[in-house]
Amino acid sequence: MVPLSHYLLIGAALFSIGIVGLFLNRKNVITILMCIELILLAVNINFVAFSHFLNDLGGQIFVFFVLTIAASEVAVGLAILMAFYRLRRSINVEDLNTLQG
Amino acid sequence: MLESIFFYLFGGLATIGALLVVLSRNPMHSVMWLIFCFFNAAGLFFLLDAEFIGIITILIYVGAVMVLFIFVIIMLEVNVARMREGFLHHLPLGGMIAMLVFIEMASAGFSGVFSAEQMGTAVHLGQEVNNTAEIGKELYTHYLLGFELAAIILLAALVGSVVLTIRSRKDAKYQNIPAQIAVKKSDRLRKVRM
Amino acid sequence: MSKISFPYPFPEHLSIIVPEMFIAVMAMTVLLWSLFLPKEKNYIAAWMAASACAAAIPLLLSQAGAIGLTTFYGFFILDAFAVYAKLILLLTSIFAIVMSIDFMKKEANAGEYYAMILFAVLGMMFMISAANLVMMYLSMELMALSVYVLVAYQREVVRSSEAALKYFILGSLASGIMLYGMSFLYGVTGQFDFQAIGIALQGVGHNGHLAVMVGMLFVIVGLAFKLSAAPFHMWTPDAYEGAPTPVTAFMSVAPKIAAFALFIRFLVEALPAVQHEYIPILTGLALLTMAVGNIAAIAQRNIKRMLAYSTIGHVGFALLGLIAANADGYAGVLTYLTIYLFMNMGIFAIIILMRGKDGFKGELIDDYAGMSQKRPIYALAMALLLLSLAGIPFLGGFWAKYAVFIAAIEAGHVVLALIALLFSVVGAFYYLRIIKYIYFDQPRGEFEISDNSTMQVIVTVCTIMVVVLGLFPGPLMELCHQALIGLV
Repeated sequence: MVPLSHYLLIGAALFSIGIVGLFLNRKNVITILMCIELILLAVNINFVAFSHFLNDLGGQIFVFFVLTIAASEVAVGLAILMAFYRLRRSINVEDLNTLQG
Repeated sequence: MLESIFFYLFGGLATIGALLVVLSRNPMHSVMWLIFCFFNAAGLFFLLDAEFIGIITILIYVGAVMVLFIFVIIMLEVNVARMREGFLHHLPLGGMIAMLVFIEMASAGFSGVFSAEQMGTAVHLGQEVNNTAEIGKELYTHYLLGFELAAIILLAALVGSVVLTIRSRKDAKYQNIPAQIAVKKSDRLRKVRM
Repeated sequence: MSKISFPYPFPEHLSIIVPEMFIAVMAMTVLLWSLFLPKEKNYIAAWMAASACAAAIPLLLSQAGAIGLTTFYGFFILDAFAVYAKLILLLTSIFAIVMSIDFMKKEANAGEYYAMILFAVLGMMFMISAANLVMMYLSMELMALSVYVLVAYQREVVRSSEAALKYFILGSLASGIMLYGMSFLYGVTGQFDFQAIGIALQGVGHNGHLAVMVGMLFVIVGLAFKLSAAPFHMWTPDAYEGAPTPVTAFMSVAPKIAAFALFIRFLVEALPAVQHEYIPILTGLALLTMAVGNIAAIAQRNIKRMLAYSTIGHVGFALLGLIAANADGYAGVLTYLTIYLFMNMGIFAIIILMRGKDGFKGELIDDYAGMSQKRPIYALAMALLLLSLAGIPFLGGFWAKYAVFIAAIEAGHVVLALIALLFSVVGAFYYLRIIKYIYFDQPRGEFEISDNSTMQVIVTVCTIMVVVLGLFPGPLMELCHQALIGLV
């Protein structure tokens, strides 16, 4: 029998990898979007694990919503990225420098 | 026992996949590793009796979202060589933050509330319980308002992403609906004296 | 066919959700109708959207009798607090939509623009009425996705897409962090409903302390991001500068109203058990936010960027009301937001009017030099609005600050209120600097102000409201106190 905390550990690991990826990949916006997907996956693992161990379906339904929103978020994010790429011919994070502050 | 083996298999592979997403030089490889990671996470969902979520993770994520990523990478012609510059530069800071976050979350996960008495209730459901049907019953009743709102979000995202990317090409023929509606009889018809 | 029976009956009290339904239907109507409008008739879509918001106000007020009811099995709550917050939200949206008319005149796809504004308004209305974590997450995402698109709307302008990209990345990260927090709150309590979480957290002993703390902290991070509270403010100056100016006006007020309303409801209903833990966190946030907002604004040369830092500073002041954690504090936040709405909308209307023929004129602070000589009435309005933002006594902004500061002092946070007062004095400097430009510098060019009558109406209404509220703040403060009955 796998205890709940082990599932949470996997969630925490994926979340931290997502965060570290955001910091490391200063070069590529697409990889940053993938890191955000990893973070959402970590959240989903947490919710499903809690749902199972609390014996409550709510967590799984929340995951259903998270998946829906994540898909629309990706669509909007990639659309913004396309608009940016058409103007700058780059998806490099360091080219995000027109606005200074 | 078998469950533990599968848990460590799926969990370990998901973590390795996630690491390789971050470490890959080529974004296309990152996408592939992310797909791998999602498959293993779906395996974890099956272990947790969440068949429906496991299936839609594969169908939506791998089938739709990841394919969208792949399309965009193909369209953008990403320059692989420049990708790795300055990678190690941010490693100390990023690694430190990630370790802190991980330790905090792991200790939160191991803290008392999630221990003994709750685990006891986590028996696997019988074969006669249909996870998908149960979710459907809850989703369309108790969570109905959330479901409606999610539909509106999908519509807004659809309209938004089309508006941001649509380009009218000069050489393509388009329907000009306002002009078609505004047309008058005198514009098209001409009386010819016979 | 067998009869299927569900444990849930048909939802009761559906009438309290009518304003939201109306806005949703109107958003889709605008979307479809605009297909049939030629480009020169863009303004029809704008007026449809504005009148949709205007018509939602009487619909909302007609439900004011149904105070405290919930519908859809407790997912949606309408109380006096929600009615008042939605009222000022709809007012802001009307201003923002009307401001856009001139701006969007030459743009393609204007119908979608107004539809996206209405979707954002819909998301914010649901945020104000959200009674559980599901609705909280979904409504915040609906607002966020619509605003990302609005920020990126000028596709041919690099800084617009760049601002949207930065905002999007940080925004999705913040919502991921908030979700992680929600998962822990759910794991500890097994509930999504705010009140049920609140009750369950009372029963969680020391055992669950760390998990509750992580959950609470992460959810607060997500909300602080939406409020652009430091250190989660990084996106604000860029997004404000890059976005089309009417969108900047919209997003400088409306999401703040919705996020503050959601924050207050979340703190009051879900987290009363951990009040001693969250107040230090909020205090830290407020101090940092006031410092960043008021000090960084001094160095800005672009007025939209400066107003971004000004927004951050004002959010810091308004957070004092949450720290006070009593009815006076929350009423102070509502008062603050109401007065802030008029001040900010008036300033942005003048900035939009300043837009010359050659693109971006009127965005640098230098552009306002000598305005009083060429355009004395606009200069007077601008000066009054800026003085009010600075918190000079007997203009609206003074009473906004007064309301939250007094509440903080009453709750025993005297030192914090004094520090806030200090930052308020520092902040006055950069507002007064613009007034110096307007009144004491020589004009450097012609002011090609487009004399657009709708914009003049907005400027007039906002300035008069700021002056009137400065002279007679009593009724507004009383109204805000009334709005909190039933919540606290």
